[in-house]
Amino acid sequence: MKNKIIILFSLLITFGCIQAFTLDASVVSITGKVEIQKNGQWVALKKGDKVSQNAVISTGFKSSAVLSFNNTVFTLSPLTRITLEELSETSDKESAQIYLDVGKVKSSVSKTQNKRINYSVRGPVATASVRGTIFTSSASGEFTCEQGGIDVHKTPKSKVGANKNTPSSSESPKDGETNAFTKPSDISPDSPATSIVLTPGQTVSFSENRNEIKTPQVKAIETTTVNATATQSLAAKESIATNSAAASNNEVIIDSSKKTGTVSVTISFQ
Amino acid sequence: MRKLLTTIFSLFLLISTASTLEWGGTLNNISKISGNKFEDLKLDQKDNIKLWLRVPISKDGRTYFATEGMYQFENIFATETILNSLDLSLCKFTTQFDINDNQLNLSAGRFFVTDATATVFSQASDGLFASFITDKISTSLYAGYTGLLNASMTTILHDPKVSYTYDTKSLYPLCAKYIPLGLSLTVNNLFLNQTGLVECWDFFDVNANSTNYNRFYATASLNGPLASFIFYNLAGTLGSENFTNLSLLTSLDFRFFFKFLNSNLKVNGIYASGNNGSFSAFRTFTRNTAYMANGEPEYSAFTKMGLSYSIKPIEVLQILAGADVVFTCPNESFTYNGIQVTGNITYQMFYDVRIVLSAEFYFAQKQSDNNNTITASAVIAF
Repeated sequence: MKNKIIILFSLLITFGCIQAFTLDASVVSITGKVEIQKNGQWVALKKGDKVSQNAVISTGFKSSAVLSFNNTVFTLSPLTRITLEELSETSDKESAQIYLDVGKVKSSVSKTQNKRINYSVRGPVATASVRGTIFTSSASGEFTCEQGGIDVHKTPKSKVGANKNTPSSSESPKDGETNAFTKPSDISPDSPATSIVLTPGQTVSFSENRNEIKTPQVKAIETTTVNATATQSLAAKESIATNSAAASNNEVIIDSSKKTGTVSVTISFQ
Repeated sequence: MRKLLTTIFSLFLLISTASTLEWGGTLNNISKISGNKFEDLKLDQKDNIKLWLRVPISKDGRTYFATEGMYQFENIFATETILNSLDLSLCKFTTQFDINDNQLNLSAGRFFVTDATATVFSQASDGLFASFITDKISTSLYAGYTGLLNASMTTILHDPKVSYTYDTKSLYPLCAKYIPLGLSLTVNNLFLNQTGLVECWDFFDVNANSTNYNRFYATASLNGPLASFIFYNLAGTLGSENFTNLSLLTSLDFRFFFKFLNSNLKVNGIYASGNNGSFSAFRTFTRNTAYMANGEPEYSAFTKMGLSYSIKPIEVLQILAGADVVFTCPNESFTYNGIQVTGNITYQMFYDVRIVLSAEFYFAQKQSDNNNTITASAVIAF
């Protein structure tokens, strides 16, 4: 009987150690109109509210929200909609997965002494995972790293949309600083080998069709060059280069991405 | 002729009603004064108008037709020559297909094509381009023909033993006939976040007076980050004429990006072989100017090292200054040839108005190679 109790107690401790608990994020501050979806209805979100896993949060015009989850703070820009797909914690790891449907989110992920952090922001175009970082991600596919390091890769079509992601990997990011030669898998064990690693000051962007990537080098050239898109001939915009790095040596930045959208206007007369 | 015009007009109406037509154009003026001596500068002025049309064929805009035509008036004051040119710089049909998470792109018609070096082949050409893009690799294939291009708008290097001329008074003189074929493979994240590329280009001479001057090029390049703000490009190209000789083009550049005034420092070096040891003189397919010396020397038998620094103090203004030292190596020895100094100001005055001022000075070892060029250009888009 004594042995059985010891085994049961040991199992309980072991199970307790590895079990992931879902946690809530808290609302640190609100500016303007910020809403959360509850039972299909949009309800205003207030400072101090608790937000649980699978919550959908939306910000309006000139509105923003700051949410925190343990040591992670994320700021939602105006006209942003996110789904908190995962907010969980085990004895040695914190996991947060956000689906960024539209808009922009700035994330500040701080290291903790005892726990490793799996944090990712997945958008319709690309996904970013981090290791002790401050970074900005937009649903349109642009990611900028301010501190630490992030790993960005194309979101597979099968994972476009909220709640289509798999749970966080059981593995955690490796300890250490991120530099230009850091392997993507050191930042996010689930990352494909083709991921792009961003170090502080670097930006990468994916086109809407997700196959044209402006590498950190091309984006850096863009920031230091006058954008000539409006005055370029169509022949220049439609030119084809087999190596974007070499082509960018011509110092002319041409943004040939086609942006399309739909605006619906309803006019009613009383 | 009337039937043809009616058919074209009907097709145009059909397309324009079925989809959203986009059109526009640019007005350009390029005024250049240049000469061997400051007291003997000559003016060359070009004015051109470009009109373009883009017709989306599919609703998602991924299948479309694009075309652009140009008329240019050039006045070379030194020789009192007036040139009129007409060109079709773009006539391209493009479509894209998604295959799982990969993408197949197809383009057919006339468009500008640039190889991995941006030097060997960098011009408009008629042909077919196909690329297949996956997360790990990008492959592309190009097959073209140069015989329908406007010779006055395209500068191809021909067999030095054969004389190619065209009627400079003609609005649209046809170009020499070559068939360019290119195959390219890019591997993303080949190792440690670096991108690798291998590419080969063949140019087959199919002219009536052909001497079978066929050229072959194989390029390997590597580029990527060395630190957050430092990037490099390393490329090497082996060239051959009918596999009877071997020539070499290598280049290496480092770019440093700074937050201070959005500035960018570029340090670069390039070597194009002359008759050096087992190498023969390198020649590109498209004619490119190697350095600013008088006579615009072609990309062959020289080495150039230099740096340039640019700042962008405000979003619409960029100022660039650079200097290079040039050595020539037609034979075994490397001889100092000169120093070139360049300056450039680009000002996007309005969203659709751009002004560029540039100055290039070449201080050569031989006075006859000195060159001074000042260019002002303005573009208005509509």
